[in-house]
Amino acid sequence: MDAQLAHFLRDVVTAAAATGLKGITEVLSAATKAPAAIFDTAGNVLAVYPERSLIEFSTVLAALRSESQDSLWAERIEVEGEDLAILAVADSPEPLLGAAAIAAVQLELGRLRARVEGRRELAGQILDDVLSQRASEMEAVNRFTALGLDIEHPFRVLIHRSALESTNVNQGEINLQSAISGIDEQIIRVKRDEHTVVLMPDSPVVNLVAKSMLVIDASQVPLSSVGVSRAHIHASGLRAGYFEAMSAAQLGPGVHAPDRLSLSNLMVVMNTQVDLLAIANDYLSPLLGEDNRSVRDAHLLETLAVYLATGRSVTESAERLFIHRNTLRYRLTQLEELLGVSFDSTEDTTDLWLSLKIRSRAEAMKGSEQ
Amino acid sequence: MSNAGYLNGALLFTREPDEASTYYEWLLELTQSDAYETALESVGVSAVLTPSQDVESPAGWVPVFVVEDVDDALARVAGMGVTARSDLMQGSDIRIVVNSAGIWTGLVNADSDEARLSQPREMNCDYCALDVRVATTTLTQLLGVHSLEIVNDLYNMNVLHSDNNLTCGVLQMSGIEALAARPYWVTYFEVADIAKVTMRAVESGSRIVIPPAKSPFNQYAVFRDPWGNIFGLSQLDAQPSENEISVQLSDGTHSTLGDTLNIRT
Repeated sequence: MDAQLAHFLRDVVTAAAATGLKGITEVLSAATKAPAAIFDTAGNVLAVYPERSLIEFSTVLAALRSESQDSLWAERIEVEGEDLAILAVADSPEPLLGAAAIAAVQLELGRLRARVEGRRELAGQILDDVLSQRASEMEAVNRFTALGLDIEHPFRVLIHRSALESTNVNQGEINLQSAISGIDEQIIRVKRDEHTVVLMPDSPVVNLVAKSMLVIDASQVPLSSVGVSRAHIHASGLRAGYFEAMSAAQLGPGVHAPDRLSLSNLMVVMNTQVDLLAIANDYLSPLLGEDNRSVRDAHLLETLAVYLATGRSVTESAERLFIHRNTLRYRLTQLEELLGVSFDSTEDTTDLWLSLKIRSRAEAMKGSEQ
Repeated sequence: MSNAGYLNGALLFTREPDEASTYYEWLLELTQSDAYETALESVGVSAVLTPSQDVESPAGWVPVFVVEDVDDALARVAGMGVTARSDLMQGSDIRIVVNSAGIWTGLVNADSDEARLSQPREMNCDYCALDVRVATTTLTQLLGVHSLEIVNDLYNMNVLHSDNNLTCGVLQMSGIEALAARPYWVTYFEVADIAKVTMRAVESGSRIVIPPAKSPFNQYAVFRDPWGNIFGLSQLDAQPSENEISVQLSDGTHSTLGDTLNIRT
């Protein structure tokens, strides 16, 4: 083994054991005679040496995108298949030194990640127990208090939903700074399928936290959505807040904070037991093609949607559809006959409204998956 | 005793000034107030403003210093690349100047109603320079203050002072030659628990630029807030160590930082 590499390995292992990521950047900086930094994927500098070095995250991302790394050497650091950090040096290290440094950072990040993941898993268990009503009110209070969240004071639930299978930007989903400093987060994050659930004390910065969770493109256009609940207290409030946030997160890209929970949205969003789309298509089948996807009579389907959306106002519906009121009345009679319903029946109009919502959500889901 | 040479406070030029004010009040755990600038004013924030769309305008935190006379200050730096911008801050006694690197600084006359009689305890600032010597010369002339150099400091830190009061620090940026870097001011807020406030900052959308680090007399960290403005946090060491820090005064003699400056009031 090359003597320089052997020295470097000894130094980097010793430094990592003594001062973690900070020690690794110090040894790497000494070896390359250039500033070295480790960023998390959200752009936080986790460690840098010399400490006053200013390496812009945008420069690091540019170096990662570019094949040429003349001015800055940058490498993604992956742990168990997840991009966790980026190692950047203002001058390229020897390939073997670079590889050794990456391995040292991976080991240290694995240790930090385990610390964060442990807390996150615990929070996930409590959340599951509260949502399924397995945990009593008192038990929920005690278990969340142990994690640093006082649910006897107002808190919010934020749910991030990304339509993207994977992104290059982990929007701070793993707070490595918490593991480095040993200070528990005041925000609890739980990963649930493609959603990230955040519980945080109610504060004036809730909207900023929500914005910081969004995945955005280069033009600052959001590619994901964040639903924000109203402020709640206690386990019952957590259940309500969870459903509010989940429902709001379905409203499309951006941050959504509805004033109150829509029960119809909730039914459509939360149901996983019954094939609601099949029922909705059956209900509306006289207006649909044989495959249930195409629309046999687009005018009638649009008329139905607008009529219900306007609270069954003939005047407003006719204006929105640019048709005469008599034409509208004729179409409504047609709809009643075709569908076998009466617009005077609350039950019938509720079923029709839900059927339209279910189809609309299915369309939205299909669009976001493409 | 004159208040000239004091750090008077700082202005923040940012997008969404109302939201930014609320953010800093929350971050620094100040009392929430209906008049959103009131709580911030108590820690040295003079105003939170929207940058002008029509003319080149400051962006981010701009420190404001008290000088005996702004016109005299500008005369002292004639030919040193500092330009006064009378079209900014109209209706205020604060004058904004910009140096040749495009870095903004505020000045206010000592006898102005807008000049503080004492420095805000909760705020201090550093100028991170490409060339410490040049920056120190320009700033000492502009602000009418003295400088001393911390001996054997990794960042060649110079401390500007008036009488025995700290005005600001000037330090060398490291190893950024290849990175098209430019100098910048860091306005620091003094906090009781820097690790805790760092966590609040990270959780609420700020990004760490320099993670918490140790200086001879404090811990500090530097961030970008959710609007991209650079700011810092500082926590003075509980055990004063200023008397162990060797400094060289402008006349070449040596002393300690503690004997030269009172950095805790």
